[in-house]
Amino acid sequence: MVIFSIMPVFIENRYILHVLVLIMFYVAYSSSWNILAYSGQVSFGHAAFLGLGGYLTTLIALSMNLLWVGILVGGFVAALAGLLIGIVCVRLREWFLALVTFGFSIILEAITIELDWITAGTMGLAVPKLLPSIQGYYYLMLVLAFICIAVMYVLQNSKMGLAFASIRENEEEAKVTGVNPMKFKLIAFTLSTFLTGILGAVYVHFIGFVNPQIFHLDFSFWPMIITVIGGMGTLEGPIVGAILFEFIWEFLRVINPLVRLIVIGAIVVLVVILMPKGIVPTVKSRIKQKGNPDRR
Amino acid sequence: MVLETGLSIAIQVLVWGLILGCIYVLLASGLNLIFGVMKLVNFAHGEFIVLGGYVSYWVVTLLNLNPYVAMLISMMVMGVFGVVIERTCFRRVLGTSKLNEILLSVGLIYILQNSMALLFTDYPRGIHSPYEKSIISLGILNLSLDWIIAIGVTVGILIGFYLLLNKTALGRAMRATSQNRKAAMLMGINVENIDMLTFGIGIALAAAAGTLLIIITSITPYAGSLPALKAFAIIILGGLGSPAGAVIGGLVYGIVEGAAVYLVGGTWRDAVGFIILILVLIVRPTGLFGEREK
Repeated sequence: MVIFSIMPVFIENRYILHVLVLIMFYVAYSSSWNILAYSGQVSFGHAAFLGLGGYLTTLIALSMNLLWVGILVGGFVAALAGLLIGIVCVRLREWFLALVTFGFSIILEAITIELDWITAGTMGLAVPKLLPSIQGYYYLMLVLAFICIAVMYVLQNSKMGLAFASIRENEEEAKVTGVNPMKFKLIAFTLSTFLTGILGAVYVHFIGFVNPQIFHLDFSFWPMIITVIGGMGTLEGPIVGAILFEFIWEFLRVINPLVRLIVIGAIVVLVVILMPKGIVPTVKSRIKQKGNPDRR
Repeated sequence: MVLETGLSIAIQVLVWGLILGCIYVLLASGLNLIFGVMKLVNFAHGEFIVLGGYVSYWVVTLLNLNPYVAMLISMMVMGVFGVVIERTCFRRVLGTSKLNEILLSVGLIYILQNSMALLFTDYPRGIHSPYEKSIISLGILNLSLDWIIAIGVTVGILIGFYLLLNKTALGRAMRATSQNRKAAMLMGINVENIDMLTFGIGIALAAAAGTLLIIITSITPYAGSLPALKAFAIIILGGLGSPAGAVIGGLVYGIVEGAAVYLVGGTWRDAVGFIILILVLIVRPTGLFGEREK
């Protein structure tokens, strides 16, 4: 943590800073996705909430000249949308939910393109600057990433988190022990989408523009891939995954942008087959094994 | 006169939707088979469609064969490829959580899609069928011969599929496995072989869909993901595991999509299906004709 905080003071290379901000962004984004997944709800369309936050802050900034307020509004609207989608999905099996969330992001993409008198359609909108320097964005993302991870930490150690986990493992049994799945599932949705909305808002300020691409399936799949590679449901998973992901992304940029994606796909396949729990839990248990002389 | 034109347009749209529907039916049936027998969720199905289309494309371009013959070849090649993929990738993950299966398929999407882009570039490819220019006039309708052949081929494949499922021992084994895997094992059915064959057949159907697609329109390596996800929406709507549901769902979907594009414009094309899916699921969480999942 300390390293991450001091680092940007010393680094002046714009490119590296840019990458660092992205890493933080993905850490935060994946963590927020992780929170929802902790309750057993695997969203395939999280980009929807990212985009909602992004567009709302842009529209508010452009029309009313308010910056930070827009970000908050983005978060709340995303949370509201999350709540609504959550209500639809509560009764559904896991992969129905995946399709519905995915469908939601596609629908939003279409709506955004259609309503081009507000949103400038596929051309996108230019987003006003929030902060003067990249370092500023870095610290902001750092804080947000910290918040997301902190939420996850609190969750893991709280009764509510226990409820989430029990729902994830076996919803029927959770009901029997007195846990109300619907309530907690909706809390998970709202929490996760609120954070995602805020992240989306900050992201578009950082990037400088927003267009319907933000709703695209890539943005929805990244947090999932990152978290799964790193380790779903763990604290460090999204961090490890995001760093790995960004490294590959940038390193292979020179070789071939397509090869990049193939490599990422291959990593996903390998991880799922060989390390189904993700890198972090597998490494942790290996370390435990080595430490124990009995090798049990 | 106006009525005639309006009607003619309406029927053209209808037929176009039917063609789209045929493609979706092939897709959905393959997916349904894989899901029914193996309980496997494979989001990468779309990539196999496109790959099947490309195989046909190269067969036609390099060997100069009739596209529909190429379709058969593609189906066989892709069927084998499907078996290989099942054996190497999905076999390991089957039975672990649904999430793992889905994620594996997502990884495969990235690998396949971008390998294809790498090898074939993302320039859209289409096959020019020798029947392309033949138009058949039925009164107020002008139908391309290709469209009719496409429908015919689809019907043929579906009949073959139906016969396979219901009249052969293999089909019986597949149905048994889909109904109760453990009981099937007890009855001496080699479930793992059935898995491989099922996947292969499912992929072969996808290849057929892909070939139709590349004949009717053109494809790029990225053209597969959305149809695959829509196919999932279709089988949910039609009811998981119900072959009739897949057929009806596919046709209805194709028509609705075709109509939507005509009435509301291309932007909504992809969204329409999901809107319907969400609406239906709100009312009936298990889909329209669904079997209850345990």
